[in-house]
Amino acid sequence: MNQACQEQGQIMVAYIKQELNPLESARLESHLLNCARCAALEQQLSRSFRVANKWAPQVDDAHLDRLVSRLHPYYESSSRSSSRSSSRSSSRSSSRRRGPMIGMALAMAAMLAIVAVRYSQDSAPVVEPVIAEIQHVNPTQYVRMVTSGNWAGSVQKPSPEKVLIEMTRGFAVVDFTGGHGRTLEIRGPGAVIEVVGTRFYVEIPPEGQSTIVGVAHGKVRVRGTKDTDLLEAGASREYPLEGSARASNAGTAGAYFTDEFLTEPVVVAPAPVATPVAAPRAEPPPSLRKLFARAEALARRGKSREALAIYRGIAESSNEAEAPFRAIARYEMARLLGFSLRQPKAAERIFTELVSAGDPEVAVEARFARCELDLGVDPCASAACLQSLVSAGPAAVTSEARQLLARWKIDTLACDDHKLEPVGRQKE
Amino acid sequence: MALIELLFRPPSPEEVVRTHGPAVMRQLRRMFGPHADVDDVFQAVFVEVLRSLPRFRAESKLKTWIHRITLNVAYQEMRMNYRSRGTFAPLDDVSEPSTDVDLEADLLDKQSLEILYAGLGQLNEKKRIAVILHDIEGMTLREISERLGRPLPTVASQVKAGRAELAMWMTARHRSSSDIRALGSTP
Repeated sequence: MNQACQEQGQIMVAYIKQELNPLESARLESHLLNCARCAALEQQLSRSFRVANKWAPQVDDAHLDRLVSRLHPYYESSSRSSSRSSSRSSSRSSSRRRGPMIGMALAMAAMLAIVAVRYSQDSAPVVEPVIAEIQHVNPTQYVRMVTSGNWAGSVQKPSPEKVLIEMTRGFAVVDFTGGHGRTLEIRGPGAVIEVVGTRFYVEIPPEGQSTIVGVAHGKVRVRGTKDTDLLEAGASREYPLEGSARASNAGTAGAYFTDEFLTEPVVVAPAPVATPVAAPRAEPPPSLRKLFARAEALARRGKSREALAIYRGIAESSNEAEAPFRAIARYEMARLLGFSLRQPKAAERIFTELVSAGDPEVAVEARFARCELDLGVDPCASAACLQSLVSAGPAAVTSEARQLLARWKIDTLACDDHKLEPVGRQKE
Repeated sequence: MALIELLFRPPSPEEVVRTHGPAVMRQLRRMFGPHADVDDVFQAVFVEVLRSLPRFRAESKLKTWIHRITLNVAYQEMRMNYRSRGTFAPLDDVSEPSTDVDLEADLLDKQSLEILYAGLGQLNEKKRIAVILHDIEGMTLREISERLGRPLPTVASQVKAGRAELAMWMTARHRSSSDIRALGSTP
């Protein structure tokens, strides 16, 4: 390579990127006409950069899912920190929203404990997604279950006092409060588990040929195909479809679940594969953001009327940029009226309007808030209101309504028996 | 108040990864080349993102903030792996061009991309990242200077030197492969 080639090579990329002045370009072009090696270099560089500039590597969904799963251990610490910071910044947060966040953090902590138990032997660094997906099934006030995402089975309630669960797949940690003649029976391959009041763990291994039972607290009677055992806290046994029961070390995971976790319903993230990322609501304009923040701060300090005036201003604003947020402002007005200013009828009227208005997110919230209005005066009416959402709402609403029923701790059995009477609606 | 929280709530960690993961992965592949296994770098980026997420002040867009973290992590990775140059694959797996015109063009494109990233792999990490960001990612010198926290003249000279070294390497490679071909055809 001669001196001229070296000099022209140094500015070749700049030439390809059209950054040279006309004189430099002309000089280089003249050199390219007389130097085959530099012309080949120019062609090679030109093609390489052209391809690289338009190269848009694709990430397939399965690969992304794997990467998302690998990061599961880090979600817990991040969401715990953010829930702490958001609880500092948020207001007299709704009883509905704050709990699930705390529950979620606890759920993740418990999940990690289980994963640690299950995978410590081979030190697999990747959390198995099936185990990571957990969900709550609370068939009654006195039976709470945390199940794996792949859990399969049915929950039946043949009588008000009896719950019958048939499991065919996955694992479940069950917390059962006995007494008042209540009974719980769980059936799995090769075992029938009779529970008097305890916390225990049931797992059906993937091949589905046995049931593993581990007890965290209390006692559980298990009828296997050959044996009947009374398992006490700390014990764990596997009951095969054929043959005798044998000791198992897999069933002690229930002990890792805290009381708070089992009694606190959680909003569970669905399976990573199926998680649709919700389209975010448009960002509010900065001025509107400030107004909401100010109203929220006022409400937090008990200045409900001032906060109400701000929300009313937003709700009645004619500014088009604020239009998507008017429904939210009206919703907040109604909450203030209903829960702070003791005007439940006015609140109910607004909530009812919002339910039939166009904003689906606000409509869902308004439906729940309408049920919540009765909570202080007529818990059974609140429960019935939520029950109607459970039976009529879409899946997300149904699930949240169930969790709210559990959170509000309304004994629906007692409501059924008319043991809880309304205490009288407060006057407006 | 639930809706207000919803409105202003930060995205959940998993939402962040799912939303921004594909863009980060694309950016990492474009920075490390078609054959590089960037899964570990991706994980390092999001570990850093998730660790810092609670402190994210929304002074910039989340996307910009994640882009900055991606650059920093990728740069650290390049520094650590500069000696081994392990992430830049060799070129000997390129197939022979086919007679089919489209396929041949695709193969040539693929080969050109591989040659370019192999050449970039010869640069030190400072020049490499400067050339990648400027000539592949299309960032201006000023943007690179701001993102990497380097003086503008330094970035400009790194781009210039990186380009010159890249051209030199390609020339040398072209000459050696021609020599090899010539040797192969000698009876």
